[in-house]
Amino acid sequence: MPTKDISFCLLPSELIQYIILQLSLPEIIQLKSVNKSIFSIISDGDFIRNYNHQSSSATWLFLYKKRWRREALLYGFADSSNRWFNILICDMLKQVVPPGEDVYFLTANANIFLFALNNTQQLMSVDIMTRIVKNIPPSPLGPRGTSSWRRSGMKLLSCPNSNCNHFRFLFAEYHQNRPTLFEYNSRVETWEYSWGTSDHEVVGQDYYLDDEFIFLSASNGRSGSVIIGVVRSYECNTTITTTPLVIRPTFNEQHAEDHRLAVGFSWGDSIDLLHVYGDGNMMTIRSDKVNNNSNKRKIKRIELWGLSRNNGRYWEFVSTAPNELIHKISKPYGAMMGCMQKTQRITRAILMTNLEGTWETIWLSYNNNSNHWACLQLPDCNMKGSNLAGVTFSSGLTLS
Amino acid sequence: MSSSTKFLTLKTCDDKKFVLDEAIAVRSQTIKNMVEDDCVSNVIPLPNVNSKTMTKVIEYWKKHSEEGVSKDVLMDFDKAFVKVHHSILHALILAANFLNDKEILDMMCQEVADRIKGKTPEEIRKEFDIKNDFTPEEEEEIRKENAWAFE
Repeated sequence: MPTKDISFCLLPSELIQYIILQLSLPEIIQLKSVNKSIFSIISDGDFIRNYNHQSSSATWLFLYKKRWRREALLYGFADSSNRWFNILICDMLKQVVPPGEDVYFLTANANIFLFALNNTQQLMSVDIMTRIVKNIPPSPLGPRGTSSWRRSGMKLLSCPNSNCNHFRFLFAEYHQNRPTLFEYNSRVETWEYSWGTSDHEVVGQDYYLDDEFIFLSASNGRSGSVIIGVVRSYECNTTITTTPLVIRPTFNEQHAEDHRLAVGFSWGDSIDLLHVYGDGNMMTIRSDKVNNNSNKRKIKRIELWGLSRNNGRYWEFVSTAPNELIHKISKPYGAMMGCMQKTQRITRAILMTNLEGTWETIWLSYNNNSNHWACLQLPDCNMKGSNLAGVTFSSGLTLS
Repeated sequence: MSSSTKFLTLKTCDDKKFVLDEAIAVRSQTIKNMVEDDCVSNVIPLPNVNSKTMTKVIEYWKKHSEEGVSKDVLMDFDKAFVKVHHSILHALILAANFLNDKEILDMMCQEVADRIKGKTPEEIRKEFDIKNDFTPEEEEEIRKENAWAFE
């Protein structure tokens, strides 16, 4: 009996879906144009729901790079696919961005990307699936350039309902000398703000392990931080309902000395110690000069800190990255910056280093359940000679 | 071999028979259920699997049932195992699905996914001999709507 070749399209659709679920969204979108039967499988409502459910727990890293007198490029890296995707959004941006404008990438969530324009001092959102680009009215703090935006803790929350393209944008900052939470809701296209209270009722709350709160830094400094915590609400038709909490974690010197940890700034140049903040976490990166050459440094020690149990009054030590990991990632660098995110008990950090124009990107993760550290050295995405105009973690892109 | 070793006879859709140690054959959840439900007569028919595909499946089962094989050896074996023409990959996916062997199914589906990754639509069609049944206008429309994803 002659056996007929079984082509891809003749596999049962549930098996084809199973295969496609292993792919990242840009790959799935491209696959759609291969053939009609594949197109209809990817357009199937159940498949879209399955994919979006899986995608909501995926983590992407997006970075926006600029080269002088050339178009800026947005790159995305998915933890599941181990490669960079070039997200071609320039044509979408061109609709609203005046030529010569200096665009900075602020943050992203699902399919929404938020940018700040330096010259016109505007904010705008781009939905890459619907291709809708919108200007966001100035916040209660007024129009401002990109450098002011780079300071504040911010979070974009897209509506979990896949048929809804709305989002909320939150940021924390001092306003009239008080830590303040600002929130923009794209459904009503308005801003609201609320002052936080330090009068915590939630004694004994274990902030570090709690995913129910969103934590945004209003300020980070030598003696400690001022963080705003607000109960996470998911739907886009709700706005701030509870009064945000103001949390002021400080460094507990006694604790630090006991464990000989890298907090405090008294042991030399503050450049020896870089702090990265995000989602109520702090990572400290201690470095040494290479051969007394003041331009080059090497990572010596990395620690993770979280908000302490008793109302987050202290930065509480969580874990130190193991020596083998440090050894693996410790290469000479000139400058370093980072960002951090925490979801479902996994804390992730990106450390980007630059040495004479060459970039290295290190993806660190710490599992709070297993106390396990991991690192991934990301492949190069042609960053040499480019400037970084924004980097952020995001959840996975979604189909609609 | 211990005296308790039982053998099963599997018959593929092209009427070839395979005699196999039961302990190995029950890697297939489908066969295992048949054995446990005591509905195994002399010969187990496998109407959805041909002999060429079954030979590959048994090759995999035997290798993965050998004692004292190092992880590295198994990894090399698996790497070589998936390096086959896409029609064999697809046949193995169907067979693994029918036999309910999640290990083989996952490995083969991953291989198909890996062959899709990083390819343009045209390269994917070539890789899997897929016919483009879109008109140029329809294809252009999809590309235009999702221009951001087409690097």
